[in-house]
Amino acid sequence: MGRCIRLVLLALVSACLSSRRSQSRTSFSSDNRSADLISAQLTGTKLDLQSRPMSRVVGPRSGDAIFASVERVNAELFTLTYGAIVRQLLTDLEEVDEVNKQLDQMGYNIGIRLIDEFLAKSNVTRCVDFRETAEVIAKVGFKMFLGVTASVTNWDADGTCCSIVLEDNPLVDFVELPDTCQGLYYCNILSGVIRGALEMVSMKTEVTWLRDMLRGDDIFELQVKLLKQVPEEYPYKDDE
Amino acid sequence: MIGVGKMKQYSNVLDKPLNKGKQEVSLSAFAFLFSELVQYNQTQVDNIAELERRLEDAGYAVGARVLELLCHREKGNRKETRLLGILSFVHSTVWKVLFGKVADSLEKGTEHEDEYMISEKELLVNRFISIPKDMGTFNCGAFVAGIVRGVLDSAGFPAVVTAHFVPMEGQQRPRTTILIKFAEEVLRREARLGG
Amino acid sequence: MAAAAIYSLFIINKSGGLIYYKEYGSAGRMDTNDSLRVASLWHSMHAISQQLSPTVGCSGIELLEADAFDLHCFQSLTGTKFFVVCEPGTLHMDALLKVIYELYTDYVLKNPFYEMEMPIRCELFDLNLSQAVQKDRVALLGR
Repeated sequence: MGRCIRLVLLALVSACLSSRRSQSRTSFSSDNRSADLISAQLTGTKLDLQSRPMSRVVGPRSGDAIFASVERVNAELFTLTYGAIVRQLLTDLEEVDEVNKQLDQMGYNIGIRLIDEFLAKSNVTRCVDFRETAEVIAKVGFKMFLGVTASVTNWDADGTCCSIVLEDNPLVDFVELPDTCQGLYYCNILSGVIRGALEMVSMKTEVTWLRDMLRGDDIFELQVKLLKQVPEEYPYKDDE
Repeated sequence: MIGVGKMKQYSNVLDKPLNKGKQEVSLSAFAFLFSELVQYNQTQVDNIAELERRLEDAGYAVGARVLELLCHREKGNRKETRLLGILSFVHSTVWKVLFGKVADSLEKGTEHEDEYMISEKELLVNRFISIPKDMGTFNCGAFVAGIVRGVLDSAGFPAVVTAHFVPMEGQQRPRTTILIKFAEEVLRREARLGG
Repeated sequence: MAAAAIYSLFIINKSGGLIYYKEYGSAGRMDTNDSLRVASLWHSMHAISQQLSPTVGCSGIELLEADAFDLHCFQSLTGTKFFVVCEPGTLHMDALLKVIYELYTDYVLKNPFYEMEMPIRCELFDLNLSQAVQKDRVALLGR
């Protein structure tokens, strides 16, 4: 076993060192890889450090295409299950503010897991800017998971704050808020999902409800505000 | 409480006609939501039996509302009065609406008169879930057991409903059986009606 | 020619911790400490390679070719890394990594009993992974 590791280490070290030497091994690469794996944008850098993101080869997929290709369930199962969750929270926590917070937290927990499936299925590359990010959430994200399309509006001058707007919302079909639940943001799980998902790709955001159909507005409107974009660079601060 | 199944129309909102139940979401969306339901309930309990109970209770509310919705939509408000009728309704109609297919099988228990079993090779809710070894025979299908209990109870057929993993010969994965044990009064009524 | 063989699969979380290791080769399984060390080392090497690279916006090593093995690595935008060590010249490893990533998003991330960043102990993930690797093997050997 020890020898195996030494071989691996040796290979790794020599790979890093040789990255700066001009070894042209591109012919080897074309023998061994089928054409569709070779990106047209080969930079010509050394084989070991080829910037060949897989996503660039296939291209990002549309929300409709993904939704059509995944397994789907009746939205009613989803709506009713969500209703059961909110009901449980109201029973357990009683205070509407606490329920709002818990829903957001649950959404966050979902978002940090959901983001990988979003990336895997949508083939998006690193978004150039926040504008692109918001568009992709609205057009691809909402569609591939909830089957509905959202739109992005109300950009501020910086391009760091916008609104995501949706009419159709499978969380709330035929839900009616009784008077005892004034102040409840029934769909607060959604704000957490977006916040959690974006945090996993190094974007810290603040997501709040501007308009809520269950409170009498004519549309659902979420405000998404980019606070900080910090990709972690090696050496990481919390390395032991 | 929060009501589902009422068709309140806000005057300034799109006038939605009664949903025929054709709208869909991705299985993933449901799976993530269900996973979070389980995780939340895990934080609220001290042991597995309690977790099972909480999931069943969550399902109960769903079952009650499913019956409301379906009775209105599918059966034109006709009520089932016979045992086999309601069982068939659960096994076929309820299953189709919620899980996209009828249940794999409906069987009468051989040992007890009041027991019936609905079985599935794999419950939809369990599709992505692997139970850790230290949780023994725990089955997240307790949620589905709750749904069934909710439907039956609201239809006038009170029962105790539980979910169980049943190992199958030659199969790597066990199947799930929803065990329904009807209350005495149901059997008595059934006998009276000439069951 | 191409007798394709996967020797091992590693999955590392975004902090460099090993969360999954599967040995397919005949050399036998690396012991726990060694596998943890190798994962941690690769994590650092991968990060360093991004800084060494003369290309702007380099996303790190994707392919390492040595005499006795190839190493294919895929890093998601969330920082989780999936890499296979395989026989030199093995085809379709990138596609296999993508499949494994999707299996991870299904059978690991949707499991309520899985805690983020922790070692993966999900029976369904193991089952489906075996099927995917087996399918890959059959497809390649069938040529």
